[in-house]
Amino acid sequence: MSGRESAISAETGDCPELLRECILYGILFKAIMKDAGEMEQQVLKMSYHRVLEGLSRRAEREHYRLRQLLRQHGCELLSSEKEGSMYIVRYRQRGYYREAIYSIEVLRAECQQRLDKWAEQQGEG
Amino acid sequence: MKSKRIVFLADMQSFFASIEKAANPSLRDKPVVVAGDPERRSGVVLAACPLAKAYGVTTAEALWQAQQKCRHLVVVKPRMETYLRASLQITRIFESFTDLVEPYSIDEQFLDVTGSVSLFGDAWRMAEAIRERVRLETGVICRIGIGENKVLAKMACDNFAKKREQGIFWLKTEELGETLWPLPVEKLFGVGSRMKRHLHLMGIYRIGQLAQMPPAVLTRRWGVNGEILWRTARGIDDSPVSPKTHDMQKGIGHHMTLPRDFHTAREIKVVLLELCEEVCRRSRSKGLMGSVASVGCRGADLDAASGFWRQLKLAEPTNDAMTLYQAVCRLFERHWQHTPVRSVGVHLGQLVEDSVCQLNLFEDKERQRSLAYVMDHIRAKYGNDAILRAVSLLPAGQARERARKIGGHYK
Repeated sequence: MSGRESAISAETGDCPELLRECILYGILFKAIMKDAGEMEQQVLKMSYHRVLEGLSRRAEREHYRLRQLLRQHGCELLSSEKEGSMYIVRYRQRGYYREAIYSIEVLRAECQQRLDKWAEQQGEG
Repeated sequence: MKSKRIVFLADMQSFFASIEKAANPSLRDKPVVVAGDPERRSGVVLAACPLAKAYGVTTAEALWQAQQKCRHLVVVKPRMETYLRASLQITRIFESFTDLVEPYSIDEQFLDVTGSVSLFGDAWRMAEAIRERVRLETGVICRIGIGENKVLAKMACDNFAKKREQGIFWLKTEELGETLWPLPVEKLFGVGSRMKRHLHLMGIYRIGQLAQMPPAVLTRRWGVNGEILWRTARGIDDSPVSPKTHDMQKGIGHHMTLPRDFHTAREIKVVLLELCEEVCRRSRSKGLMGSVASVGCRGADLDAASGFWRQLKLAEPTNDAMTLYQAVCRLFERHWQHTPVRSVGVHLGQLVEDSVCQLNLFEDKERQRSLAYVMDHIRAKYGNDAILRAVSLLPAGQARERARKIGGHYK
């Protein structure tokens, strides 16, 4: 499924899809913040900082927007943690306690794809 | 009346290749194969993605043949540890749907969902939910065969679900006449190329013909296996989906396909010793000893019925590499026809726990056992090649190369 399709599916209330999008943007936000911290040592840190700041803001906003949408669907995020090569997310959905078990490699690849898409959109804009 | 069971067989599409594609977005629109080291003889295709398959690339063919079919084929080296981890991750996903999950292979697992199906609506909706979760959480597409037992689920997956866009098929016993029986007999679970030849000679070409035969005819010819074939054709199978199925071990064996033909006993015995080491190390790690040693060798033409597989009852159970090696050498010397060898295997059967051991007046068994366990600890901590026998440094030795692999493929 393409990024666009998955986004549409997420908007229409497909809970697992929506949950993954939300998790992805949350991770993307954290990853960008970490990279931004490491960029502090670079010569062109001011320029990099502006770009990363913009990206992290977008990721954070998207994460919270999707989190809100999830809540409207009766799904509440409880915790998330790294476990070896997996990223475990625990959530409550309509009273049921559930768990999603993501592959970290796949999450990384998906984050990369979303960043590439943003870069493309920026180029077109 | 006993209610019908609902069993799923979930099969991962091009498992290794799908994992590589999910982990690397730049590969997603390219024909990808996961293949062994092209420089060595192990360069065979382990998995091909659907795009590569569209070019005619098939699993298990030589890499050079695959590259001839598709010039811009992307070849990825296997990462067996990652695939094993992904398989365990998928098992864990399945376990959130039912506690009865039985791994059948690295990319196939049985699920008995009889007790939990009502929580998810019906079997079809549950299968869809499973497929969705596996796709989103691992990036792998899975196909699900549904049946009232394991063989029906397996045949539903192999013969129907894999060919449908929804990736799900429910093979019902009452519909076998229209679904399964018209298929060629080789599509029946358990019928390989040799059995197909035998069945054709008997005039059986369709599964339906086999199902309509009196079972006594098949039993006379193949014993209990004949009856199993007949039962499979009729969709009868009482075996449970058992998560503990792999806990009960009947034997421990290792097999190796060599990088070239080995011609002398001296060379072959180096590999046999290395295999005995591996077999005994695994036995010790499980706290087991075996009293039947088996050895097998095959020639370069793996299709021809060349080579041998023979076994020997040991005087007492063992997990000591040198004791096993001596028995294996006796068998090898007795049965080897001095033909070139390309593949060797060693197996230890009739396992018992190693907590009790017969002491010997003339050997210091305690010392041998302690030494073996110390070597195991070193290997567990620092890697399989941290401590090697000197023979493994000879050109025939495979232990160093094998330490970098799992199941004959790179970690």
